Amino acid sequence: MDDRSLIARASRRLGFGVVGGTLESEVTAGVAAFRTKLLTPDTGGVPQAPPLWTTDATVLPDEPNTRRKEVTFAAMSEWLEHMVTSPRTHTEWLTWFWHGHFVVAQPEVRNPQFMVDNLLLLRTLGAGDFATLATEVTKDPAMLLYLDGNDNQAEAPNENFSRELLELFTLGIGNYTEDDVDSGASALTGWKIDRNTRTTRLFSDRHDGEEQPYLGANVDDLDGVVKAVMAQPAFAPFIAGRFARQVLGPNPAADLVAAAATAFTSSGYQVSALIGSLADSLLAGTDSAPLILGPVPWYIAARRATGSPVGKDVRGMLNSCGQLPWFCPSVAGWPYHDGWATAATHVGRFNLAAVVAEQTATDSAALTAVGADDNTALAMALGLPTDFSEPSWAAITTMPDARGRLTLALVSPEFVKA
Amino acid sequence: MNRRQFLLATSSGLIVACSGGGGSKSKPSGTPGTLAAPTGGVTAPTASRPDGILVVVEMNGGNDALNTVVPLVGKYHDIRPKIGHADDELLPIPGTTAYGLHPELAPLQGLIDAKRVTTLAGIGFDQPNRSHFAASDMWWQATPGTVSATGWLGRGLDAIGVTSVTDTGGISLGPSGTALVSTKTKTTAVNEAKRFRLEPPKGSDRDLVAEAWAAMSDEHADALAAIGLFATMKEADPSEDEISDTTGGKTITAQLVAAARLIATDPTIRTIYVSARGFDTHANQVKRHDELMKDLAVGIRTFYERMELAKLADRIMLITTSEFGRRTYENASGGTDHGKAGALFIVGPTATGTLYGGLNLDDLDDGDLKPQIDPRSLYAVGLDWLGAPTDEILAGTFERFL
Repeated sequence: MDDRSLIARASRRLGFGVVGGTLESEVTAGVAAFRTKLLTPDTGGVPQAPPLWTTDATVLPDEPNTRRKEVTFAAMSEWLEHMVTSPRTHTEWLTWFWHGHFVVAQPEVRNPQFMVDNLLLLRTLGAGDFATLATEVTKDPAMLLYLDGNDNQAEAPNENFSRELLELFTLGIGNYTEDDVDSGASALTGWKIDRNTRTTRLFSDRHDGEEQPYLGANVDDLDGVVKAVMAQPAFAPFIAGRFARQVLGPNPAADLVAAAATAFTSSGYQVSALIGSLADSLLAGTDSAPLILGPVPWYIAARRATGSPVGKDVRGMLNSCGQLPWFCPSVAGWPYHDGWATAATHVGRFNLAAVVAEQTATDSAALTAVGADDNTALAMALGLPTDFSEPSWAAITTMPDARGRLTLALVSPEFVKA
Repeated sequence: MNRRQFLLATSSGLIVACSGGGGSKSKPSGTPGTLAAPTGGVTAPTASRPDGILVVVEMNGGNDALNTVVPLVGKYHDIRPKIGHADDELLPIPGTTAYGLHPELAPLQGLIDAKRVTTLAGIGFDQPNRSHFAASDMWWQATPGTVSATGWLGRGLDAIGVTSVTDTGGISLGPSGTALVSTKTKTTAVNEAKRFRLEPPKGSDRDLVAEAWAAMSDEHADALAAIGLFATMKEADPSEDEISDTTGGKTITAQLVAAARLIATDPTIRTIYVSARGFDTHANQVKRHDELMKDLAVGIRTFYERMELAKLADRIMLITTSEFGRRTYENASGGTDHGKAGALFIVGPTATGTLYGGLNLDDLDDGDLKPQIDPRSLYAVGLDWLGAPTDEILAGTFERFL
């Protein structure tokens, strides 16, 4: 693979793509410089992203639903714009990854400030050590509300979180028993939100302090649960696999996943070490089937590639695509890859692409290239690893108008897949 | 996540069956379900119509059997002290005094009286799983013990060889349509019918850009064909005074109204798979479950009313599914955790109007209801109705409800 392909592919697998018109200069600077800027932005001299959410998004339970909606959607829009404009695109990508892994959803959480707090937690801790991340997520207000930990008490444990912790968040099905689910639920009883301080604490009168046999250990609290989980042989390969299917694409090579798991383990479970290993495999040119991007990463990439400001409200369109941030339909996260190959999502993408194209500036790199009638120039302007295929280019050039062409370019397989 | 291809299956064979497809020889044993006979062991196919239509309503999240079909004798009130129904608010089920139905199912009364509703109590695979996702996989594949790339309904459509005028054999409305995954039948998945149209950028020729989009990929072309069907369905609406009030109807009702419109527009559609979330009632169950049951009942009533007006009701069977029932014992959150056997309904011409199976609170499995009816018996009724080779598709012979 040439440097253009390596850099463009990695920019769309570990971030939301390059800013439109900058691929050429990234290629000139080289793969090593690109890796540094993407994964270690401090070293690479990349500026900090502006702070997110400087305003309070608290909506109290007795306030009307209309206000809850309004504040939620304002905060969500701010997040989307942050994903577009942040110079540290890998940080935003990683936050988005964790949002789809440790899922929480607004309909259960309700208070938008808890959603904001949850995202800041994922953003701050997402690249660091997994034990801290898992511990903080477990007692995070949004998670306590989403998976009923807030109601989990000694006298009649609620096993919702305990089950998903093992099945979806850390080990995968087949690597624990129903007894482990029960024991985990008991050990995690008593964590509850103090609504005055908006923080959580362990309410000892609700906590079952009795030791429980759990995954081969004996545990009676959150720390014990996290330790026992991370001591399982299935743990590191499971987490490595979840990242690999995003970074290396569908059906990643087993030896590369194993290498990432080893890097994760030997770093003391630093997430950045796991990702670094996968990034090295990707940048070394490993074969990989194209990955169909989810509607949000695709939309963010389209915004970055075109520079389109989009003043219009796109929430309804993202919802029609099936991917509205904070409204994940299932605790198992978003659909993956060809889970997005539905009629509804194709139609939703077209309508979003039309809005993006409409707002794209006439003198942008993308529209300049469209006007030049040059396949390679348009693909480069949009930050793609390869030129458009013959059928795609034929379809694009059917349109006499520049924005019709740009719409089709954004929904072409070349742009939709990474 | 569904973990499988929830997708637009195209005639180009996007999905390849690895087992259980029409004509597959990979059937595990061919033995009937080992569960207690719901019917006295009748395995002859139930009625079939060459133009039969099957509608499936999936209650995603695991519907609580014990508060849907309530035992009137025994330990029910001990087990459900806070969230149980009072006996006197339950709806009677014809032919049994041992159970009553959730009071919010009252909109189904007309169909119940007409013996068009069969109640299945204690339904589930005999190796149940309390994971939403493992259980859902068993339900949509219907090949317990082996993995199938195709869904039970997709295999049925492949076997009957759909030749719809719109070229669409099955439509899924809502989040989970994997049961429709097939090897050759074209199916379409749509989240929200009302937004399902193309909105080109200003200044672009609408037809030209739609054609160019469709020329770009087969999936786009299939989506454009589906848009055409949805665009015509509005013309088939009855007037408001011809149908009952739909107050209390929510997601399921909206999807079933869309299903009724689609069928009225194109009665050659063979199946519509409707799904709605919200049945995972771990906490504060009573109000949520009331709303869900009402939505289900209002939806089914308005669906059949619309189909009566379109003179199509005799062609349509409707079945409900859910990946598991819930734990019998309530938790401290006023809810119930994941359990095993569930309770479901068959509605339509081949329903018998009575109850099969049972919910035995004296014989629990780790606090859960034990399955008494194999889900493939339920599927058999639907596949029979479509005229599919049911035993082949289900890799075994399962008892019918007669």
